[in-house]
Amino acid sequence: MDNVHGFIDLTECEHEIIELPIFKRLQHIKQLSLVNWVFPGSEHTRYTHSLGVMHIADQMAINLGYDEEHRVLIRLAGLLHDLGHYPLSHEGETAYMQDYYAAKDCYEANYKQIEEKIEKLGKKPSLTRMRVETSYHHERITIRLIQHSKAIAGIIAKHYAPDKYPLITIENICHIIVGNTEKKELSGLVQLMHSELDADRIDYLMRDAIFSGTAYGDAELGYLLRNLRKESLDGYEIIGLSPKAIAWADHFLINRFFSYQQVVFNKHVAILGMMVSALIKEYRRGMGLIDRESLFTRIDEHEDNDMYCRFTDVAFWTLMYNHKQSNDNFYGNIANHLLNNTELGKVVNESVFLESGGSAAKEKLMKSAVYSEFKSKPNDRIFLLHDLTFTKQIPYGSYVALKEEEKFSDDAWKTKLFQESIVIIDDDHSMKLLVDRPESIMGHLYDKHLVMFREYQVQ
Amino acid sequence: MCMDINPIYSKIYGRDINPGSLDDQIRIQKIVYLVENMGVRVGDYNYVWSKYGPYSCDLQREILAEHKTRTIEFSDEMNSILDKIKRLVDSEDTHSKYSDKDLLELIASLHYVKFYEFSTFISDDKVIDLVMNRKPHLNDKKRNEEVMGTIVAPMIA
Repeated sequence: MDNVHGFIDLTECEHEIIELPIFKRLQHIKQLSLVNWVFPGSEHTRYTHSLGVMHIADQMAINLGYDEEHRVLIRLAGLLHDLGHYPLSHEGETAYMQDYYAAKDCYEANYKQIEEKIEKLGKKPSLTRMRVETSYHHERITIRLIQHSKAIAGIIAKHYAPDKYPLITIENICHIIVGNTEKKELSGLVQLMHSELDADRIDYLMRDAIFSGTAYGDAELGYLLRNLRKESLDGYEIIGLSPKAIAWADHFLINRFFSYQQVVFNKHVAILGMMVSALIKEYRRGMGLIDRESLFTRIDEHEDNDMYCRFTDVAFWTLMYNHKQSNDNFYGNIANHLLNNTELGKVVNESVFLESGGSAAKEKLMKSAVYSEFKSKPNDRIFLLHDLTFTKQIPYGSYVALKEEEKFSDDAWKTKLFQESIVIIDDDHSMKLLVDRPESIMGHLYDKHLVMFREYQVQ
Repeated sequence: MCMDINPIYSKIYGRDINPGSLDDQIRIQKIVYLVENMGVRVGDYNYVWSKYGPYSCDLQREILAEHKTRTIEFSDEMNSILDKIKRLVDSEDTHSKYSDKDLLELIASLHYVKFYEFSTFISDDKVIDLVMNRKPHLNDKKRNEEVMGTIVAPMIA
């Protein structure tokens, strides 16, 4: 029984998978790390989210007319898609990236990170959006875990014999999870998990809203499902919506925007996130949490050694509670704050504004009082910067102009663009990006940047 | 980071990048690709397959927009990765007919095909054949196998 979708039926195969220790691990990883400190209901985990994604992806597949074999495949991909998430979710993931700069202390490191973010703000839109993620990204960790799980392979093979279900393979599950759009036969299913309107986003938006108590996930899922459409472009499937669902898609993107603004980038949530991420980075450097160098070994051996299965939020908190804290350094200070349920600093200055275009937003930011403070490099302040947009889409004409200006050549550019974006499919089978439809509000909002630049006084 | 293209390049080659040179563009494209796949995020770059292997148009913009260079001190991890790439580049002429640029293109291409196109569900031999088919100038099979086994495989393992 799920708070968001009601009863979620499981097949025998799925039931056996969720009983595995590697899947149960997700019960100990909160979906939104420390958001529950500010929005107390946000206690939901990657476990329930995974069930929700499986359910939505399947509903989408049913409404698109996929057969049983495709449905089994997308359900398994949805169920397993977050298997490799880090403790404290994205905060933990960030902590496992290596440093780019040398920094003498946390303030200098923070200064350099923000300097980099400000520079990025002024960049032109990217011509390619499906990022190919590196080895430490949670999706890559997920497929590594799946590839090293004899149990998962055995369960799937037992229920879906390869001669009867040739599409249901570990390989295809992994391709869907990492968003590999190269395989034509999987191209539609990949979009159900990797696009601006995929099952993952739909579930987390609905779930985060219900659990946080905010209103930014309100979506009539049935309306979306009834308006899904499938077309073909150069042999690849393109998943889109009928024109009747334009308002639904706009509403979804607006909800997502406000959910990030009000919940994920809330000023208290943001500093708490920064604190745990910094501490995880400290703890993974030989202080008890699995270190970066042995992470892959732990993953590969997870069926023989339960260290990876215990690599959860609980591991982090246990380490923190048991570690002797000292207040004479930055990390000790953070740990003591967390032990006392307090934040590292309070906002003393902030600049929050909406602007058209990244360059204009950057210009405005550089005129703000927070920026002046930032440039003075105070050694008792932490700065956090968020840049939020409604969509990654830009109008088709702008995309083509940019592509020609930059002489960007990729044979499959159009297919990829349509696969990544929300596409509206008319009754005559013609396709347009949502931002190009005159009825869509996204045509007016796509280039808006909400910038949140905050200065925290460290206590 | 636009301002860091030259510091990264000069750390490997001991000279400034020539942004207008196709060879230098290929070199820095592959260097940044390799650094990112060894675990340090340099920028928000998405890669696609192109004529010269993995290519990022976001990075290309930054190469061409290079106007200023700042003094930057890389982290120990970043320095260690750049040193590793420098050693590979410096020693290539003792191994085969490949140039340093060819070697970078080869490593990045083998990695991209194995890791991204096939999510590692492909044998090393098939990856080598695929890359040789797409890139006839990288036709030293023995060296390709060595590079796959000693450089690319450990990056993925």
